[in-house]
Amino acid sequence: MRRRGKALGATLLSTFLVLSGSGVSGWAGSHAHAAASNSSLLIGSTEEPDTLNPLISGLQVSGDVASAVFDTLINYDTHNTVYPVLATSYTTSADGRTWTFHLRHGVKWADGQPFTSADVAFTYSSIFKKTNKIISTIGWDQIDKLTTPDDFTVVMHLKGIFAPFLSDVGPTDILPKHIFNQPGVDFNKAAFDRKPFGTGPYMVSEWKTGDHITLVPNPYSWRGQPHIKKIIFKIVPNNNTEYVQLRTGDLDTGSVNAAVADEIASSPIQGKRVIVSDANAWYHIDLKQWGFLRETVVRQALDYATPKQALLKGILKGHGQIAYADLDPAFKQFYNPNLPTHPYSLAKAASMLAADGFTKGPGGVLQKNGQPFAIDFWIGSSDDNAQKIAPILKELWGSIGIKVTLHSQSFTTIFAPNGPTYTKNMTGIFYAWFNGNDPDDTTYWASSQIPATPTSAGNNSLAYFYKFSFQKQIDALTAAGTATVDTAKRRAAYFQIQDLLATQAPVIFLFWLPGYTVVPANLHGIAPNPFAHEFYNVADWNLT
Amino acid sequence: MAKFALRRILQAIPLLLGVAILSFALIQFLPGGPLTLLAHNPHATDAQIKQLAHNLGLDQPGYVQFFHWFGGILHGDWGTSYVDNRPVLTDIGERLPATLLLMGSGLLVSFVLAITIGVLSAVRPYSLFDYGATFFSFFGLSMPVFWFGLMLQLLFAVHLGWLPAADAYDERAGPSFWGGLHHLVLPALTLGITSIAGWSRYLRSSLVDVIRQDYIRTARAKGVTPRRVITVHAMRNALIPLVTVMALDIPGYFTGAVVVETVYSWPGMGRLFFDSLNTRDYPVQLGLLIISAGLIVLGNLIADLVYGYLDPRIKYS
Repeated sequence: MRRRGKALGATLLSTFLVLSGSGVSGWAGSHAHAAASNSSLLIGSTEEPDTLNPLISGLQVSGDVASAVFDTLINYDTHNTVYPVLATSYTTSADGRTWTFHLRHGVKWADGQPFTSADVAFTYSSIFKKTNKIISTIGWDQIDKLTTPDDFTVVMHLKGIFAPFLSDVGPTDILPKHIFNQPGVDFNKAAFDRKPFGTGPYMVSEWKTGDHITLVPNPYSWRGQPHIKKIIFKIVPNNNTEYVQLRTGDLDTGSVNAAVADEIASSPIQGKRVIVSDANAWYHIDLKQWGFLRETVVRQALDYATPKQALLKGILKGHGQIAYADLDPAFKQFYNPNLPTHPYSLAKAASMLAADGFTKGPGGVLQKNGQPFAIDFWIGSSDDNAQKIAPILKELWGSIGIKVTLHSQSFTTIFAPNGPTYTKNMTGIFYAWFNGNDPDDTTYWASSQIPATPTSAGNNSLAYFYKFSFQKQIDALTAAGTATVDTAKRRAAYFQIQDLLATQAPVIFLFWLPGYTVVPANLHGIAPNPFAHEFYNVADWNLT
Repeated sequence: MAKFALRRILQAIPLLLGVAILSFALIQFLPGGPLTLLAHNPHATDAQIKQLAHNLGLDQPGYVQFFHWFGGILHGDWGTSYVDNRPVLTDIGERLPATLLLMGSGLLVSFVLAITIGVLSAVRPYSLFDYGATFFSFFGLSMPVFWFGLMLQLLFAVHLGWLPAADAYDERAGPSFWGGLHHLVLPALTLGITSIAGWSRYLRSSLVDVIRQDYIRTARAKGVTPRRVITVHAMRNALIPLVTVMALDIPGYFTGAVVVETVYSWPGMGRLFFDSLNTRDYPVQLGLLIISAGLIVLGNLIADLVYGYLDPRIKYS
């Protein structure tokens, strides 16, 4: 599963402009350009790729731009259903350990060279070349042997059964062997990494750092020529500038936050529409295993004391859904619709804490064994939702004697080894984790994912000081979920995991976040997809 | 004067060294590091993070890293960006022209407007214009630059549609002289607003003092035109304190560029600094800090030199 904090980067101005703009009627927009046409499409992004070699970048945005340039063996549509790309079909052996991919014929790289199985083999070998700064080997590390019996067949023999194999390996971008095999080319710094081409519908013609990346059609695209003749991926430093430029027509397309989407709903932008989609991201408050937060009953009480329905309505304007565990309801095969819930009730929360031995101490703050119940809330400075939710919870929780102190910082600071993740305080940290296209959630909860030190890799930092009381159960269940390719067995494992998480409340699950994309009203074919990168179907985009 | 300038430049060397040491140390104390976010990427393993830390030299003690970095600078190698793997000087060099253009335009706008407002206020003190200029000056000095930038965007780009909201040029049309000028107006004005307010006040009070002097009265008595009295006789003396302030304000333009470039999506060094702070791109941050320290030194030197030129009574020793 992919995991990252909510959009990092430029955070300067928060929602100021939105507030200042609200109530002003009649946006003139007389500077606005004519209706967008297929001659060019300007897309705004507050993040910039570090490299366009997708194998050495850990950034989502690098993968997004690369998805217009490179192709994958297979990909996933908006319903998380596999569709063929470079592989027209694949088969698996009865024991689930041999995967055979049949490649598309007649595919050429954008320089006219033919694409063959050797390029897939090269991509595989690149991932394991020590000098390459590869970010992810997941899935590929399950391969015991990769063979290419002919130019259009790739056979992968696995070491064992690994259920998420296809969802990890299938959507990996395939790189051109003939470019990187030239003498003197450094995989990590190749000029190609800044101006790449692939078998995808577009190629990069220019990358001006800090400004824009220009994409032009790949003349040899096997899909035929795309409708849009030029895509300019414009890097904008903050959400407000992006919003203003969407208003003035200097940008055609861009992702916006809930507040801006709400502003646009009340004051539409001429010639544009907003697409609300599922972001496959669960928004929550991490409760570190420290102090009272190690007690299940305490976490459950906090869950009861959180008015999710009201927050969804008030802050997200009703978009999105309440989250009870870590699997998106869109994952119909694996989503457990009958989870235990902790409906909002401050009285219930207060009585649970009283029954657990908490009493009112000085200043009305609850205490137990002489220790006050004080939690630090940490909010990413670019997280507009938390900026609004945290003060409400501070007030509500304060009313039943839980002292909450608010802190706002950049995610770089929050993630830091000396940041709140690793301090010996009770903390609640607001995060949005973006899931991948497999239900495997080992990365969030398993003991194998607990970082050894504050500078180590591992996503289960919640259990850094103390393991969860239900650690053995969740370790067994996450292992069971990946050890079989039998969908029924996997579903059973993930149903149990969701039940366990909803009951134990290791974090306060809040919402499944929506994504908002502003697009020209006449742009057809665009369909934001939580299971693939931004340009997965860019060849279908058409401005008519 | 050349000897004086040379001595001041030599004096700047230990100063810049001190800045380098202090900047390096402070950056080491910043919470988080270049690999902090990567540690939370489920695809990155411990071994990969250690390898990357080793490749970047981050696993070495701080003083070793410092000498490695500083030694590189002395040889013209300012290091490699942790983010895009390119030499720091390439990254900075690409952004430098945009920032110089913005700073130069900001200075020009400030200079012209500050002198105009200052002179008009001084020749008619306590007039309606003077009161208006006073109000404007306090407004300009007290409001946050980013807020002013946003308001200008809202008014001139969104509501009136007269000027573009951001960027250095129209991406669809490509770069052009008039297009560039069009895009420059709002950022230059935003960058210059504080200076316009401050400098015009300086000039006003300085000019009000000067025009009460005997030699001005004499000039008027012998029939010199009022315009010539101000521009030739009064201004030269009135400008002396202002020039010092102006030269000392130059480095502030770099600081201002960080905010202005971020608001206006201007592809300059200020934005690069802002981005490098977010990503903890130490080599780029340090490179820009050294450049801004150099600018402060240069600003001071220019102030001293111009001061002496305007006032021949001042001798360099």
